[in-house]
Amino acid sequence: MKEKMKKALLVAVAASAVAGYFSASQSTRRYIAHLAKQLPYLPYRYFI
Amino acid sequence: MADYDVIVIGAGLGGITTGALCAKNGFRTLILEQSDLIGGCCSTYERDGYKFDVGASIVEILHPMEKVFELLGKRREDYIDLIPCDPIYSFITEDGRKFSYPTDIDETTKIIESIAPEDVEGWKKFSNMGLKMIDEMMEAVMLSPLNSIPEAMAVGMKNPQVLKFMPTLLRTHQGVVRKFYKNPVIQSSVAFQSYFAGAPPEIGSGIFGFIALSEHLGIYYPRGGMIGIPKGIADAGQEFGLEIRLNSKVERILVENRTAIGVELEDGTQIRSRMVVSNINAKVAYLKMIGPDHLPSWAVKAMDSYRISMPCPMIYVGLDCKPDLDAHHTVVTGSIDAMNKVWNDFYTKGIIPKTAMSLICWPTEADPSLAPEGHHILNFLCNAPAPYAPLGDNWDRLKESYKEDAIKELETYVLPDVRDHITIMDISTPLDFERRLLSPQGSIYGLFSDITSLALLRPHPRSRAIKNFYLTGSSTHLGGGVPTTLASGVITNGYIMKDHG
Repeated sequence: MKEKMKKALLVAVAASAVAGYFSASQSTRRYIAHLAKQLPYLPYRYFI
Repeated sequence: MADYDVIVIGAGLGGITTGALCAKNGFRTLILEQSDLIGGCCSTYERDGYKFDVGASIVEILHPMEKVFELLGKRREDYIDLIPCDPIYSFITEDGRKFSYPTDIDETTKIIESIAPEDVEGWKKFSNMGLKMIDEMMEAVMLSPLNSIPEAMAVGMKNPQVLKFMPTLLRTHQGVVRKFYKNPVIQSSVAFQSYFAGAPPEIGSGIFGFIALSEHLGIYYPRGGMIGIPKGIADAGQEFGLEIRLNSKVERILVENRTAIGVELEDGTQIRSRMVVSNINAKVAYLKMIGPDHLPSWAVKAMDSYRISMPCPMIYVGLDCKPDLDAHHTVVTGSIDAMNKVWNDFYTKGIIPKTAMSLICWPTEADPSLAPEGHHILNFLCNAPAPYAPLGDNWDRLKESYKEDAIKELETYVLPDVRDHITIMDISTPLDFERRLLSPQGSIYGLFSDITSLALLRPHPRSRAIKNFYLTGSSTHLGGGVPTTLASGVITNGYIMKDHG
């Protein structure tokens, strides 16, 4: 039951993130895309 | 045996400041500068009796400069003569409207009221909150080291009032502007700072919103040109034995066992030192001068990931008459959407925009001695930002047509018959900046400045990859700008004192 709830919660969060992204303005979408592209590098940047 | 305690590569503002402070602290210090001028982007060159500023055009937020002189044990007034400039900016908007913002907050309120009464409340709220923030953050953030999470926490614990401003700082520049202002004309007058500093308002950090406000505390022009600032600090440093060698290009940084041990010049001369400080673009310092072979793989990945800040072609004009301008700076501005559009549809696609924004600086308004008697100087960014590699062309070929565009811009906004009054005209394209300052792709602010490459996420002043290697200037915390690079010099010197003092 707990597992099912966890999954449902994850799906809800993912769905609301996707919905939020598509309802955002073009400008905000570009900003989110920009941040997403940089995300993988942040741990390296923190240490340099 | 080391020849020097400290070698600083590059005599930009950060390098000069770090070098002068190291000399004051008793370190044998040598600054190596590849060009024949100190100051980097904050410099001035002379041609036919005119003194043109290379890039930086003004200094605001004097606190870091005063701190440098306090640490040097000198009086700033004895070395740098600052001329106050008022009004701060004059604006020409898309629909041809002209207005200026004076330093005085109440007078500015009246100007805003005359254009957009609905924004007076927002302006009052923003200026009250912002000026308080600037005051509280000046020492706490500008001059404090932010190399790690513990250091950031220490700043927060020592100055808990700073934390309440974090949500604003974490917004985008346009987010901050739109939160406080509704009128597009007012928005455009406070949204250009990130744009001209190399990031569109939709990506630039919200901190740029406060830069506009900080200028109401006063903006100043150093008598004799912007080179007056690095020269004043260098003069003070030389009294403590600081050595500066011009025309000395460093080819590589010598590293042994992941420790910096000196530098090798272009002619093969090696100079040994206990510490090496880089005041050049951090990507060049790490990836070219040190080289991937001497770096851990995570450091190479980090440095590869940074984007370079934008290049900016600069136009330098001498006139035999007074231009029809109202302030030290005139901004030909556009809406926030127009700024984002230029960035996304032109700049990132390698196209030079034809209908973009310009920043015109009139330094002879503050200091007439920069030009022959009765003559004037305009230094300006025309149709900025422009790409380093224009599609299907290059800047050496584009020089003349770009000059022509600049003249048309001046004819429209400054003087209809300006063509008849131009006595001298020079241009520094991104390629020229790259050649003159060794800035990769002609970038003028080191690395791109957004939330993913500021503070803890910008290359640290004390390297974790190479021992005894330090960085200063626009590639490090606080980024490009006069007060910020001065502050970086103070911070880097603090680390050196902590490690070797």
